[in-house]
Amino acid sequence: MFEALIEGIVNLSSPHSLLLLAAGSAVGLLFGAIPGLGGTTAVALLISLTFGMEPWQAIILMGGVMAATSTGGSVSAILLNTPGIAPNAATTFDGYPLAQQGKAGMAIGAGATASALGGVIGVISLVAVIPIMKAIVLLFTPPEFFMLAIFGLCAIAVSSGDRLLQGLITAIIGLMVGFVGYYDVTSTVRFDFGIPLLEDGIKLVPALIGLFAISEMINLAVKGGSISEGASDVEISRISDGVKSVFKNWSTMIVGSGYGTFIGAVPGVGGTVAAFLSYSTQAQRDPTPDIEYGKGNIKGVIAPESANNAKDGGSLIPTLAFGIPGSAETAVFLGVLVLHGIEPGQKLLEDHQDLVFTLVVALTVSAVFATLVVLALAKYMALLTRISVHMLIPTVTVVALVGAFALNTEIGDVVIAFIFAFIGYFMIKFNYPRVTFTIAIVLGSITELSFHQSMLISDDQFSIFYTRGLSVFLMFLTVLSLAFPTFRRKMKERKLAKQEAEK
Amino acid sequence: MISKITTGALALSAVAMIASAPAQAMDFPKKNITFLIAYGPGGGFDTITRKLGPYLKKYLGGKVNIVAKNLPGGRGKKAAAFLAKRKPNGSHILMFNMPGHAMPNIIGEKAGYDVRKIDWLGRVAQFRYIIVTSAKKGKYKSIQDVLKAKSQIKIPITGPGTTGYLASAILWNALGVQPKYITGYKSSSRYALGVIRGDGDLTILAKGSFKKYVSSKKKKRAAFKDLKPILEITNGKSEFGVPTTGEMGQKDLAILGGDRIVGTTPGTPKAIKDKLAGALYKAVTDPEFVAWGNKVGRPVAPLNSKDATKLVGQLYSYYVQYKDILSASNKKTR
Repeated sequence: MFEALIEGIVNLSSPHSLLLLAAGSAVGLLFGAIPGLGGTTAVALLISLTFGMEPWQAIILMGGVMAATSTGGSVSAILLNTPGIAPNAATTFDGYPLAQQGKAGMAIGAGATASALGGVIGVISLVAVIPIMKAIVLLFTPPEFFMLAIFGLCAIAVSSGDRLLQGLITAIIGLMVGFVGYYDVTSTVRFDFGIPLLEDGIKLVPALIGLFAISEMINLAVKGGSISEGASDVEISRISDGVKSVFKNWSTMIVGSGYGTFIGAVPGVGGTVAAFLSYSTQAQRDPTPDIEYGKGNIKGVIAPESANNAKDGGSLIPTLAFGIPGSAETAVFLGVLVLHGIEPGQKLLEDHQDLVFTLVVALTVSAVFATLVVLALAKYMALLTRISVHMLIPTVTVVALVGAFALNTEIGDVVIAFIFAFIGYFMIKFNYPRVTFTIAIVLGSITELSFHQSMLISDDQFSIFYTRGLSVFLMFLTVLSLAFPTFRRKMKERKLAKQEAEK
Repeated sequence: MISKITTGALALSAVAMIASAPAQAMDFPKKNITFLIAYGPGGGFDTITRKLGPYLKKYLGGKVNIVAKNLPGGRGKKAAAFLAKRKPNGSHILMFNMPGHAMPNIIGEKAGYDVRKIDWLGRVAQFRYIIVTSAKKGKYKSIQDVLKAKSQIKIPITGPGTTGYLASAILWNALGVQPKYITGYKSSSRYALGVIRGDGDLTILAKGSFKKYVSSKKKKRAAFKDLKPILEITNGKSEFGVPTTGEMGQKDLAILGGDRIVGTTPGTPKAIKDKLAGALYKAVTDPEFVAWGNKVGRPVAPLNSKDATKLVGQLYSYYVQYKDILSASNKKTR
């Protein structure tokens, strides 16, 4: 293994390789930052470029792209309330309020640093679990997927804060949105109203573009000014504060990275769920925060961003163990390997260990490289929040709509983005949480599918959920996560009461 | 007089058409050709289409590009309907997933295309099936155990209407077994994993996928080493030393499997179609492409335009016999 690692480093150390990595990283950053494009599109577009390359060169280019997209996506999530890629949606919850407060530099600094460290932790975890990775993948069966989804949905209760009723209403609507379209269990199309566009369901990216980016532009158009209008006196570039905040809140970053690696390893769940779970767990672990979550708490940026990038390492676990992609990007990456005559899965690890480690090194270096680029440019990027709405709104709206269209060159996706823009705007106006809505859209289909499969496996016996070790453990975690904030708050109140009594 | 003029005009236009046919073929292709992919980037269809593109370009004269374009949606229907609506000039081609793409036509579902009208250019690859169980967790150690089973056989699989599901439905119906399907798995590798985990008892797998899954220098370390074949769908001798459907007297079942057949828009002029088909056959049989297919466990199975057209007809006639089973499986909800 050590020899293969050295070979991976050697492969990457030539100027040509570094150039390829930098190019991949730059493309990843750009495609990550432009809403709708994302890493999957970037990797798919670059496939034909790799035809003339050696396999390890193709791997370096692709590794560069994959590790940089979520870092790029965090920038638009923070500055424009627009998740560049779906997993960055959770970053908007606290990233954008920070930008509104004139702390965009700080948020970008924290997001980028958490991304880099998360990426490195994800890759180290991948290397560490290689001997037991098959067992990890096999642990997850439909009941465990269901419990994991329920664990995530419980975040709705926490993320709603004092707006529980509104949170539940938007969550129910979100679940309904998640159920639209083709259902894998029955192979039937539901709630499509005969509209061909809805046959494959409401796609997450155009929905998120509308819900976050365009709705915010409508909101800005109504309000006027600029994103950080009310915070014009505040120093906009506090990048180093952001970097420091990650080290100060190291446990948030470690837990987030753990989530990313763990969820990444479970095929079919993906970075969006990892980021949401990491965010909600952070909010649950910290029931009495200095700054409320959703109102610009830096830990609300660190948690999802570290999970986002750690997922890249984690999603390679099922890929290397079984040749099953852990994410959409990995699926395309597997296609690249096959095009180069390399069969993914166990044989890749046996016959091409050097290539595996070339990828590992490329992912690590690219995550750090992308972060350095973002940190270097953060000061200038943060100025976006000071641009007048007259310039910002048309630019962001056009870029966002092009992103929605580019995903599948489908004009209907632009219509979806518009519809969700107005839904999002009315949610802002009437103070309904968009967080719960998004969590429900993301987790709705996984919850339904895994529940249905569990019932099929168990002949409709609910005992399947409480007679399996991991499923029970996840159930326990869910209960704990719901009870823990209350318990901790009560303890704190008791302590305060005691202190006051002593005074 | 008028009729003479009409006859003359018709004769002239016929001569013009005949004369222009070779001219069309000589000119073709003048513009890039779009090689549609009915599924998203990354899967088997995406990979094989992208790999085949440069070879097709080579045998079409090398002057125009073959542009791969993903058009996922409606489980493959969107790309096929898109192809059917293009001008019939050979500008678009698509690798069909048969029999999956034929199902909407067979069961009378709205599709926007008819596989019986597509102009078929040739086959690229095919696969046939085996039935596998888990050596560790499987309740049934042999096909005899399955046939004697008193309880329902649980089968993890993709959803109703998919190629694997259809083959399963026809197979178990022929063998008189009433299975219970655990549906919803996204791909064959996922439901194979389901069998290893014990989600169900057994499943159907393409032979090539099975070989790929269990191949390893050290057999003990093979990713899917727990998978064990118990039945092979063939009329020949089993590659795996297990009973075959042919031996069980079910000769008809040997057709069950998947064929990757390339087609173009209905009504494409014969000269253009022939040129495309000729180039496709050469591309598929190019030694480099063949070697690649063998290396990555996707061996080619070339068929020319005429034989591919005949095959589509045979597949359609075969599956349409099971229209009721297929319609039922497609509408099945719980």
